[in-house]
Amino acid sequence: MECKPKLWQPIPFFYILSLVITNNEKADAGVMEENMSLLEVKNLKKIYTTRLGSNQVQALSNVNFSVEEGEYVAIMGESGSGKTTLLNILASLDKPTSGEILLNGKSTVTIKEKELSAFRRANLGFVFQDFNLLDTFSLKDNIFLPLVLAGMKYEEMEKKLAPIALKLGIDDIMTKYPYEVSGGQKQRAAVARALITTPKLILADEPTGALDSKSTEQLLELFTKINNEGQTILMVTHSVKAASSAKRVLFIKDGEVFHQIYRASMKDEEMYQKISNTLTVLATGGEQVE
Amino acid sequence: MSKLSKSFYPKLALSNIIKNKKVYFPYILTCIFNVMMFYMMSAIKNNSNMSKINGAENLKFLLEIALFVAVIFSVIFLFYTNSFLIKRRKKEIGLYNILGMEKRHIGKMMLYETLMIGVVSLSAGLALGILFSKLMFLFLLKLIDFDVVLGFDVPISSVIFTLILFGAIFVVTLLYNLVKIRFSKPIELLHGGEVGEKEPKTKIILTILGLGCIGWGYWFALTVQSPLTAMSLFFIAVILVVVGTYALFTAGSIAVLKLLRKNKKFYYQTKHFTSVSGMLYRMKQNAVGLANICILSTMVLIICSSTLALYAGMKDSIKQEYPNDIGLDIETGFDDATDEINAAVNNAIKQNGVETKNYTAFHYISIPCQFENGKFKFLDKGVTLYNAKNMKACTLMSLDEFNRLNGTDYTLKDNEVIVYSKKKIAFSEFIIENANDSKTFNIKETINKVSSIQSGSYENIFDNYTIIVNDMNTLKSIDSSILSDEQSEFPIHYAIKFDVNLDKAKCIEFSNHIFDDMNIDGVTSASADNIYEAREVYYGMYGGFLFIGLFLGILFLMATVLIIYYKQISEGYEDKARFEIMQNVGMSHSEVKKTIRSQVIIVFFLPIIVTGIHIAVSFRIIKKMLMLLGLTNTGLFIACTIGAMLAFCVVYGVVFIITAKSYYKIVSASQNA
Repeated sequence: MECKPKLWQPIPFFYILSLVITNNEKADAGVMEENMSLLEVKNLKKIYTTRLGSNQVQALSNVNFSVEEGEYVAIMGESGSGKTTLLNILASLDKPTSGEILLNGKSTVTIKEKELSAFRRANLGFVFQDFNLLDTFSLKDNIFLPLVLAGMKYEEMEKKLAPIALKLGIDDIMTKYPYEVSGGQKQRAAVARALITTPKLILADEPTGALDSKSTEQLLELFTKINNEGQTILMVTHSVKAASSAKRVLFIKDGEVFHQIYRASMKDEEMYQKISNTLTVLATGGEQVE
Repeated sequence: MSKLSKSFYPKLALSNIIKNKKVYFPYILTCIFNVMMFYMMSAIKNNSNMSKINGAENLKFLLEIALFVAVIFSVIFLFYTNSFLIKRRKKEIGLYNILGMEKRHIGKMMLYETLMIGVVSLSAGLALGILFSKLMFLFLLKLIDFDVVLGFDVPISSVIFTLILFGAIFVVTLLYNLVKIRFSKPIELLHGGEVGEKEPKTKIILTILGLGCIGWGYWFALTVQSPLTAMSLFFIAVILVVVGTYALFTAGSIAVLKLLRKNKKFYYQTKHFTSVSGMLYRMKQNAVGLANICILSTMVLIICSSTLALYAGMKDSIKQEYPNDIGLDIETGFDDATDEINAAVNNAIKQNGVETKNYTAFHYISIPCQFENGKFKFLDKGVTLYNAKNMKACTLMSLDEFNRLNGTDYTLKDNEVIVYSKKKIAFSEFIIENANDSKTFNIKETINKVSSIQSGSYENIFDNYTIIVNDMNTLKSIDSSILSDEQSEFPIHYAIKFDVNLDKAKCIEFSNHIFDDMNIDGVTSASADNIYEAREVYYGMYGGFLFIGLFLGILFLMATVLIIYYKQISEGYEDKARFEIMQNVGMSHSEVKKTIRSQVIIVFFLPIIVTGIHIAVSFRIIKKMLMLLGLTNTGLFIACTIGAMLAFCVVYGVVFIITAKSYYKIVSASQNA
């Protein structure tokens, strides 16, 4: 890279960034107020207290961003940057210490415990790194699980499943059990489970983390495909490859949204390069001590 | 290195046990309890004071059986719990292996663990056993109504036997664990607890077999007529029902659940979806556990209720069989020696200065008769009650003696008889037949009530009928006509019963020597019973029964408790992951709780309901068997069964609530974060 830090003096982090990043938008999402976004995250803060209360760890210090309908956003960051905490809070599995999350204009933070599950079922779909499929159910029943929980009739469920299974290419293994199929197939079943409720937003947590390269590619293609059909996706990932399939990448560092990259008209390869560069800067910038 | 390793392994072993206290402490407690119970039983059997008790041989025999059952039980049960423990710890051991501990090091660690558990269990168990064995012995003496305070006794042979037995059990479990670890790869160990198990297959044949076995066993239990057949059929029925229970729990449950799943309308409902699939999945591993609980509970209940009923009904039994203090039974011989006997007995009474009360005497003959279409037929063909169909025991008496005993004034003609029977059946004729003659009596009337003197326990075992002929001569002529060779197979008996004004020791003395100076021609046999010795025999036997019943009952109950506990724990760990996933997918906290509750309740009620059915069905056959042992009071047995059932339900319920709590704790461990 053209940036060569002088050894005798720590170079200000922002200076480096400005050298690398051409698009030069700072993390300023959440400012667009004229048009209501699908998901808005405002001043999100999360502090973990250890059990005896002696130690406090700030996982998220001040997170602001928003996701528009039809977007495909990846959130990147190192381990410990607060990605998982952010996702858990977005999934309303965890509560923030302060701040606000609006999904479709409705706050998910203040929602009542009783309505929470129904709300999540209706609005959110989840894809996990380790699939989270139940061994006690066939793939079909795993996919049906959220619908059954919502009290849907069997005939309707069948009607909903057919096109999704076909699209994801798992229609021929519906009666199999999770331990009988490959990782890629499991993840596609998990995606089907996320899609079947037609959620407003799909939250994916390291969806390629447990997949081989071929399955990874297939899954990312799938994400792009369903995104092109209008599905909003928010993905948290380590993988540059996975992130480069997104339309926008947010970088989190030390509990804040630090930077973002828009794909615009970039190809996957360019996107990949750009993300790599940013990550390098993020990494070296943090260790700038000599 | 060697200096470090000396204390390293014991320390590691100790910390392992403490770390796994959730599963190890109940195990150690069970071991201690098992050792204690076993030692106490053995110590009582080997107690030097045992021989002072009347009927000690009977009691020793019973204790020996109980000890044998306890040995078998301890081996199976401790082995079973150990295999559960090692399964739970696979992951931890795999981790040690991967972190660089060789298998022999792990072996060493496990040796120390076993050593610690063994030493603690044996020393604590023996100490408690020695402490409480005296108490236990006093309890036994109380039960058998033997009121002598005996000294403190620690039989060394029992201590050694207990040490050897349980030491051997620990060694065998250790060897089993070592072999298990030796032949497994570290990666297998690491994933040991969480292998995605395949869905169980439907086993139609096994289900049908189970249904068949239970049905067959139930049929035996429900249709058995005579107490003697009940005795012989009981064990077959028990085996059938045990086999059937295991088959139904393992295969039948899965078949039913799969059937439920096939019904799409039913299955795809929030309420049923997760529970049916969850039950289906877990039945494979837990069916045996549930069947164990069911069988053990049934055993506990049957043993406790029947021994309790026997003990509680003992006084009635004694009174029925021994209506008077002293009872004599003499065969009068070919030439009626009644007068000489009366004279000799009166002489003996006078000589000993005994005053008698309620003196009664009567003659009788006991013969087996074939009973068909209301006709009693004596056939002199060597048939007995045991080898021919429709055989009934008949007691023949003369009318004058019957009238005297019962204060009645029936009259009969030469060819007429009266039949006494508890059953209300139509009777027509009584026929005596031999090689060259046949005599027919008409049955004039049937009565169903007699004085207590005549209703012995004998009639409980067989269908017994008393046939009253018009006088002694007829009785004698019947006896001579059924005579074979020189001696009668069915001699005339002369029964004398009376109360005496003697205390226990003197009464026993008197009755045992009453025939000493008697020497009457033709009298072939004479026996004397007294109520005091009889009572000792009864108390020794039924008190012993109750003692052993309670001992085995407690042992089995302990096993039931531990199985329930371990089941809850292991299911908790398995279900934890499942419920986390369900919550991630959108199941609410309260829905998860509801599902957990319904599963817990099914697991709770299934074995106890099946136990209830088993008990209800077994009631009849056990009642018949208890008749053999002299218990005829059905109401008492019902009360004891219900009492035992209620007590059991309370214990079961308490245990279940406690273990269900630890289950909830495990399942919801991280969900409240």
